Amino acid sequence: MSASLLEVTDLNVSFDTRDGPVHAVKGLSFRLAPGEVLGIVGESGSGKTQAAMALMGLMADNGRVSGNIRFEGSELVGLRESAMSEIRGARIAMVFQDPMTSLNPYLTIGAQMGLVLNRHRGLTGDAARAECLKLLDAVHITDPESRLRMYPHELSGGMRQRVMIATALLCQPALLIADEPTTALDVTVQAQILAMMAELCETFGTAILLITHDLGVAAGTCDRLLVMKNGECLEQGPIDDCFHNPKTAYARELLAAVPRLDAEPVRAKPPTAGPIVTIDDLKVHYPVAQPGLFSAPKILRALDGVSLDLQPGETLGVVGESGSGKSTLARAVLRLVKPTGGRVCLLGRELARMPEYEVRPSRRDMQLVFQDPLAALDPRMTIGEIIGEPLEAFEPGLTAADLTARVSEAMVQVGLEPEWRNRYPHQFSGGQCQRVGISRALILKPKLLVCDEAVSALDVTIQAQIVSLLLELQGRLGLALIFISHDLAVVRRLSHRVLVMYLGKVVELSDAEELYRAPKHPYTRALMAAVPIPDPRLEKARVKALARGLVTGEAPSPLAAPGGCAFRTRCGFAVERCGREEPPLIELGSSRVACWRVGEVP
Amino acid sequence: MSAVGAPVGAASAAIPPPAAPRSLWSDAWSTLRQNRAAMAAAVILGLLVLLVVLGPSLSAYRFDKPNWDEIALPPLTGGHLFGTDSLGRDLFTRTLQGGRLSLLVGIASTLVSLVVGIAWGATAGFLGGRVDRVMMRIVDILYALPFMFLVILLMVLFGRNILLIFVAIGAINWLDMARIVRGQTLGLKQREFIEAARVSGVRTGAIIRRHIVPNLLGVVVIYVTLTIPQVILVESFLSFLGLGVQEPMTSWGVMVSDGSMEMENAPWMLVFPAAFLAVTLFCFNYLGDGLRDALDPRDRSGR
Repeated sequence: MSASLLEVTDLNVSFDTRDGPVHAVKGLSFRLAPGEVLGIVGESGSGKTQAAMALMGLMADNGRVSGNIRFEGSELVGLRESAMSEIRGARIAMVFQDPMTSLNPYLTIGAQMGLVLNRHRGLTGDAARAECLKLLDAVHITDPESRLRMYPHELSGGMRQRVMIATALLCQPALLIADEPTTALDVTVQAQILAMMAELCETFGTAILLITHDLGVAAGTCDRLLVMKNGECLEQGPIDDCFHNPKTAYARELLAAVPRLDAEPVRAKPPTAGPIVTIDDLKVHYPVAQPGLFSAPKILRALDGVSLDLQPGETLGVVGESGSGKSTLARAVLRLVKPTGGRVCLLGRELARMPEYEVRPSRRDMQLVFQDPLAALDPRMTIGEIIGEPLEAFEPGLTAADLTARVSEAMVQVGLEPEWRNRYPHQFSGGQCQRVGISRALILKPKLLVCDEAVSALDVTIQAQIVSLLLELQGRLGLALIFISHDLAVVRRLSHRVLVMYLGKVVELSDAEELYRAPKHPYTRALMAAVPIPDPRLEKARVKALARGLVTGEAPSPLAAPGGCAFRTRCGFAVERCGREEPPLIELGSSRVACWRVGEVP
Repeated sequence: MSAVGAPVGAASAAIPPPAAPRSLWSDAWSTLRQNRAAMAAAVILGLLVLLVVLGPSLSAYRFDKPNWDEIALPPLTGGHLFGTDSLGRDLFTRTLQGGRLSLLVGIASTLVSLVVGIAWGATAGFLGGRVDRVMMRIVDILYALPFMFLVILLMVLFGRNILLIFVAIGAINWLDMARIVRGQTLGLKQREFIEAARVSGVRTGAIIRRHIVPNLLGVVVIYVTLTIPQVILVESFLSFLGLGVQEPMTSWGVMVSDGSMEMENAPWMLVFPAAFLAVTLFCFNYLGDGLRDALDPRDRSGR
């Protein structure tokens, strides 16, 4: 342990505000050996990002840092900005959560990478170019030559994050700080990036400080783990100990809240009582204008022929990568977009072709819960007004006292105190805001509730609370739920049936029990394989398996969907027939699967 | 947040008596009252309005009566508080009289541009598509008309009239307001809480009224505090060209431009109207700032 690369002792970070100092990090101490991967986990507000910012010397103007940060033998706290900028980028590099906002949209990839090389290693021209190509190759970017000439918006999210990592490694830093590097990515892409990072760590001998809220991610990549809460370090130790023998109650709580693919039994189907919603061959196509005066617009098939029905009290989980059409499905069912074709029948009313004013009466019966809890609430309305708004819209004759009473009732139902009615959304945490959103959705007593990634933006413990709340409300009110998520593990606890989508089409629709026990479609399997398991031994073995390639690449743009079976370009089992004919949904026991090789594949 | 305690009619027994529901407006009002600078500005503005409304009729002098014996008296001589101007008219009375017109032009024209601009811009931005294109092309066409040409045309058609100045200035200013509001609305329209309102079955008109307009207010208030001084100055410019108010009627703008001619001999002719103008604009700015802060709930912490 003598040869520490980084030694942090008693690090404190505080911010001066009008209400006095706010302590973001309190007495944090840890060491990092060369080539080691240390995971810092904690919920939002635990101070993990501020600790990393302090290491990088990137503090807001009102921030104060005290304590000691010794890096490669020199003290970083109190270092002059000019000296710090020599170290930053060269010896310590950082990768941020959102690759789009960290890249300059006006510079090509090659130019941005060149800037770093020029600044720290004085390389220009062909020498810089060769170095860039070498690193793009190391992060497994195909065709690196042409990528260098591209702008950030021309790359997919996963590609951008690879470019960020390549840029960070250009000067072969001794320490890479990765702040939630895969949170904004699809699970399948996340798995690829994590496998790649583990590989890089070995090749270059870089130590990694991985900041994440996801214990599954930490399990697969880290050697040691540090758990933070409210700015304090609760425990740290080798990763196996932290997972199998957690010392603090908080760590146990955190571990228990992580949704797992292999945990409790899934829910059995509710009794059939005649469907609330019937969707038949639903299509949403958008014309996308093409450059050039006379070129015909291309058709974007966001949703292409989806059929299903839903019983009262039943939950349908909808899963797929970004661009798979899950959100479009939600918006088409709720008539927020007008379907191009097909039928949506809610309680006997055919909504798909109706003009908006005729749809309006049906809005009582169908409601939506949004992904970003704060963005879905008007910042200038009190939460009492927000929750009461649907009621005012549908029952304008209600007296003020009745309205107040109904709002209080709706607030109590989701676990909010009625006295909070006069507060504004920004005064609440993410989980509480989501409760406000659910309360607003339920005040009209709808029959169908659509949750579009409703828990994806929340911390795991809050996520578990919201899922429990939804389960309880569903049991009490007999709601039909459409629960959309990119994560199969999250959907598991709630769903009776699961719909897997790829590029606007259904690839598998199964009872949850069947789907989690024996997924049939290769894409479903790929999705399941990509979900990280919060168990270091299992997860490390899985990451190794992924490195050998279970599913590769990212979903193609729906504008350029391959003919035949859309998934064949990423499928390990594709044969010639898959490119020729599009597979129909085949009944297979209780499942429906769209794959030509479903019977033959082991 | 302390419970204010309110009568509860039909609330069921299980639920504790809730605090009286408050809205953005009542919260904004109480925040504004705590903002000392803004309240001081509002009080000064109130006094100014009172003074210019009542002052001229209470004054011992008439604003339009020349007195050839008392030309250009300095302040506090011959019973003239602010002295007299180059025609021997009482400067105090004239300053108040000028204030009537300047404040009226400033407030009335800004109100016109505020109401028309917000309604036009928010509707165009929110509805989008063809409606937006037609409405904004109308704005573009009106923009293309030269302002002076419009004013001269109005004067020729309807004769010289103070009301026409309001109409002309308002007719130009709402165009800016409409463009700003439309741009903001386009951004707001994409926000999720607007979609949430649509899902909740809120009608388009109500969405514009309840969600779009309150969220525009921050920008609008800033723009209004810029518009009022601008309008007062445009009026003095028109008057200077002989298209606005005419002697013996006056406004602060006119008085400032007259006073600047006599600056070396009789500085008071410039100083008093200019001071009134400056104080007024200053107050509007502070009040506007306070209003913007009060209307943004996120800004209320720490006060």
